[in-house]
Amino acid sequence: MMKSLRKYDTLLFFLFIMPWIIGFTIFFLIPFGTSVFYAFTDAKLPGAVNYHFVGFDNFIHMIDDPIFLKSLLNTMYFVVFGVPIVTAGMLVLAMLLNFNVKGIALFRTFYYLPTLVPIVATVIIWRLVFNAEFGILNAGLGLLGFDKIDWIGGEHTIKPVIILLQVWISGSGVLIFLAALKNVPRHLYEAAEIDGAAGVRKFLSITLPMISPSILFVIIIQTMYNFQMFTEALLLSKGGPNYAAYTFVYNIYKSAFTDLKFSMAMSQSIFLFALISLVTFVLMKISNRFVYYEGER
Amino acid sequence: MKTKSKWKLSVGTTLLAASILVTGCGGGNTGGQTNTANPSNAGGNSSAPAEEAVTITYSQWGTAEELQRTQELLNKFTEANPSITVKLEGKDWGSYWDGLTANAAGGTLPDVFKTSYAYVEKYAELGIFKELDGLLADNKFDLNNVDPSLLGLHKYQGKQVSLPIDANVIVWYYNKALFTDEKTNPLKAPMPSLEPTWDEITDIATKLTFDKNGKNAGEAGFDGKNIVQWGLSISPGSTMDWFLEPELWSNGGKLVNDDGTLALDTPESIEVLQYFIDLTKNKKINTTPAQIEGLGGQVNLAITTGKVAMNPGGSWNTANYKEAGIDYGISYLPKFKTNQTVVQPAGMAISANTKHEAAAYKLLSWLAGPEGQTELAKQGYSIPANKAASDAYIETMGEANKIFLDAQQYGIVSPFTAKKTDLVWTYGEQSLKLPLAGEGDLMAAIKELTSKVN
Repeated sequence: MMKSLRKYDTLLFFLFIMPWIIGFTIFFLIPFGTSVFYAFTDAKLPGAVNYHFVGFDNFIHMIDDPIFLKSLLNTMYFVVFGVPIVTAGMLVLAMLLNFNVKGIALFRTFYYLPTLVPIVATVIIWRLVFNAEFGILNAGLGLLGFDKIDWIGGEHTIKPVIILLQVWISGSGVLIFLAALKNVPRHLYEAAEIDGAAGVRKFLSITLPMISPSILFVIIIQTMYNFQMFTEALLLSKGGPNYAAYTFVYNIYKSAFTDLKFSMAMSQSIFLFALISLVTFVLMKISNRFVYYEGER
Repeated sequence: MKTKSKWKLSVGTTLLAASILVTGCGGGNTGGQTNTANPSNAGGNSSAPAEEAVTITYSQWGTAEELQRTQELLNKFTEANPSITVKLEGKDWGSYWDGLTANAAGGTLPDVFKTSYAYVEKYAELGIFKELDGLLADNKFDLNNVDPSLLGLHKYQGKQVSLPIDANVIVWYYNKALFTDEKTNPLKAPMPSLEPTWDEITDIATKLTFDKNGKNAGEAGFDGKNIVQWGLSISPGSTMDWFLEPELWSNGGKLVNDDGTLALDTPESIEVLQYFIDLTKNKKINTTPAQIEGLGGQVNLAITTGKVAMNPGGSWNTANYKEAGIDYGISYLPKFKTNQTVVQPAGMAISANTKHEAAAYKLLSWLAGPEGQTELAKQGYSIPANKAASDAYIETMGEANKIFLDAQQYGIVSPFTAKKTDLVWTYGEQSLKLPLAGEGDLMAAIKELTSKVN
């Protein structure tokens, strides 16, 4: 009796999980396996008939691509500078939106709205705002006596503009932080106040530790997003000027669709996959020291 | 213990999420494009008689208006061949080529599709074209009406892989309204002559450039930071194939050597580049890249803004000017020493793996042959490649547009190799756009570009 019930349970388990397993196999495992396979060939296209196995040649010659290193450095720039800045920006916004003032719901809606706009539309709006000649930003700065700055066309300004754009569309991160902030028990603050702690002290000793799991989550999501940045770079300035915003994924796209070297694109993808895995792993490892889980012993 | 398992779980999940996203980027594009596959169940194999109803796909790049005009052509074709239904798939220029790559990868190429002479070699190497020599000979297609040089640009390793259908040509346009209006042309600059030199154009453009205080570019105290009207709009760094190259030739220089290496560091070429930098940086009579972006992003449409007097453009741009209501004038491209221009023959190809060879050939031979070419000429937007349609073109367009036929004699003979395609569309713009506008070190940029291309 007992045995057949367990068998039934197991069967039921597999029955319910089957759609996921099938989807995972078809949409992930097979394409991923194929990518790995092609990474070791010289195929110009997937499905190409004429290809040879070239071993690790693609990985060895990856560096020969004149834009490979630059795109990697650009992407690292976004990860190293973009992730902390955007995460901090989200946290500040969330704390501002956590104030109980009249009409706060309205503000919360406003700050979330940009996230609902498709990224393509957002980028086009930004192109208009940041245009050197006719953009509203330079017009405003002009009133203050500043010279025109070529934000999008400048090699040194394009990356900061893209980071700023991410803060602009950071609504979902703000939402996560806001929920975490709301979850910090009131009585902790009250106890701290009795002990004589002021604003900054309360933030550092109570708020930050209590929301640290959310911070870790947002940092990891942001890290992966920045490693895979593509749309913003493509639409804002076609990765230019002089490859200043050419991201790693943009270069993968170029390898596959412009250079017609699919196998090279696949090995670049695998390189990126390994890099993201490594960075995420390190992040998780060091987070042990900083992240506080209330439910943990 | 609890911590550890939670740990493993979250690492595992994160890695999984990361890998899904990454592979999504690599393989996903192909997968997405596969949806554009043509579900052509009608017909059958190539040996099926033409009378049997067949649906084939035809793909090309173009604006909405251009696609509409193509649809009209296809309707005419279907009238003559009622058993063949043609499904038109249109994309813009940039995504068309990426899409074609994806289609080739997914085995979903359109039966018939438009090609550019600039991409023949690059895509022929992928094996996406059906060789046409046999089909053309079997069906006795008259190739004598097509210029051999045009045919040559659509050959790969001596085999015809695509048939030229139109021969666009690059010329110099000006907005007549800007010249005739006292307010926009107070210094009464004359309109360009038919074969202008750069000295002439520079002189005219200087007289037509004004800042917001109404001061002219030739005057002292001209405010170069607040220009409201420009004499001309060129962007040599982002229009290397159709503007910079003929201008280099005009001065005895070249863009690429015969062996495909970059030829920008010769004295003749440098002279041309410095001249263009001077127009933008010092004379300030040309739009900067940022200004072009603000004016709509395309130099060949600059005169439609009413803020620019002259720009280079293709014969196809007359349609844009008409739509914008611009009264335009045409001259040859300004010259340094000799008249030069670029003739851009687009072509028609059949995909190597079409299941409807007979129907596909019918469409191709109609579009590239006398009937289709005459219909194309009658529309008045493209210059037919087939000489059987020249009369129809002149009849439709009048003598004013005869310049497009005349200008073809100055076309440079510079075939596109895969290397040149990379130079012009992948590396060149990134490296040279800003230096050619006077920002950054030109020689360093040329050196860097050389290392990328060679």
